[in-house]
Amino acid sequence: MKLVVVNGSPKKSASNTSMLLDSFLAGFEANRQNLVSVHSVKDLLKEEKLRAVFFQADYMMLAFPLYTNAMNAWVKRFIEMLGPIARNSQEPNPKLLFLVQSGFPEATHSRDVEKYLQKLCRRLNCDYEGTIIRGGIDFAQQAFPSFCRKGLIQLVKNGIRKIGKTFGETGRLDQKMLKRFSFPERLPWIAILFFHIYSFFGVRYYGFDAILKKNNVFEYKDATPYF
Amino acid sequence: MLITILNGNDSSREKGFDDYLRRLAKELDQFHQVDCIHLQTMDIKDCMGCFGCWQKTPGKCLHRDDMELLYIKYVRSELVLFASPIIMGFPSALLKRSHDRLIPLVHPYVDIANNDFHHMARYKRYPNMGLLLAKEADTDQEDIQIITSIYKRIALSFNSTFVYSAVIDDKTPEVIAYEIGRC
Ligand SMILES: Cc1cc2nc3c(=O)[nH]c(=O)nc-3n(C[C@H](O)[C@H](O)[C@H](O)COP(=O)(O)O)c2cc1C
Repeated sequence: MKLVVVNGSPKKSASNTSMLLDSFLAGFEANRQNLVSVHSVKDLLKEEKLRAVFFQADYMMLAFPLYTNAMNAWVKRFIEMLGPIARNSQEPNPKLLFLVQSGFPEATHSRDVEKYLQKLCRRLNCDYEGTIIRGGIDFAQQAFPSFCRKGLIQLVKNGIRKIGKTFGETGRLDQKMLKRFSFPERLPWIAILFFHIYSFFGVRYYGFDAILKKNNVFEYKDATPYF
Repeated sequence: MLITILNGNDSSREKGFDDYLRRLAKELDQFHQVDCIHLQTMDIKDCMGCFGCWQKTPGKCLHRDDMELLYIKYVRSELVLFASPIIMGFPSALLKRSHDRLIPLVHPYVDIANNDFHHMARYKRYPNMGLLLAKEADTDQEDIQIITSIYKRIALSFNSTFVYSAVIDDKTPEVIAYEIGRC
């Protein structure tokens, strides 16, 4: 099975999308017959290149961070370029799958864009294989002390690795696994309670304040430069 | 009312869209102060996701481009209308680029609203938001619903109230101007 992966994060390094993709692909490539090529979205914003990459694939995976409740502008431009290529093709198009990962932990933030992606596949004459949704990696990095942070992130990596492995064996995203992986759909009451307890003791911004202090800009944290 | 229209039309083929917005601005101008900005004529770079605007220069984007002008207009407006033809089921990448660049306007600190996380306000007040769309050949009601639902979430994320949405194919500029005046 030939999988082309498009990484929609504009970051060059330390990208959460790349981190999740690495684990997914480690699972996918456990099946030695599978072939993968990974591209940054920025490199595919040339029609000829995109055309070549698109038609070589059995599956294309578009992975991106949620930006203001949807795909970012880079990914939207990619979709605008892919539109005419996929719609006018004479050959069968690859099947599409998606990975959406967001700063906030609840999957609900990504559900509207999931609907959009599903509909997009119909527009592009591509089969829709599903959307992997995972939130909260940034959140875990800022809100949790390092000993639980590592454990949590490892849990996420293991989860997506299994999804990748199953996909690599069957060519299908397992819907039950996707549901479990995207937990929580909304914030559970216990998290809301902890958030309020944290707030009461004034520690809810601990992780973020530490970054501001390290950057010597803590006193400007509430700046309103454009008013 | 101080109204800013952000025109995200990036295709010269859709000239009708620009003409429509021009007529709408003229209508609105009779009772409001209107600024119609064509994003295509501005130098606006893509967000690089660096979070410099939260962590290094709080409230300020590290890019130096025309977005600085837009931030000032944005926070002073009472209503911002996001306008774009629908392309592949969603407003243009050009318009989306301006959304992505808005995050310096909110605070990185989070709060819970309707049991979901959201960012806290950085400014005392924010403009209301509205949406103006033009259909593409295969647009249906489901597309409009998906887009509107995403924009309602965007409004919530930016501490704004989503007050208006319209598909310009269905209404004249006079009708839209009238409806906006009543928001
Ligand atoms: C401009 C911008 C807008 C964002 N909007 C959202 C959002 O609406 N909801 C959310 O949960 N996270 C949002 N995020 C957070 C990113 O989705 C999150 O940081 C993600 O992990 C970044 O992935 P990357 O490291 O692969 O670029 C936003 C980040 C940026 C830079």
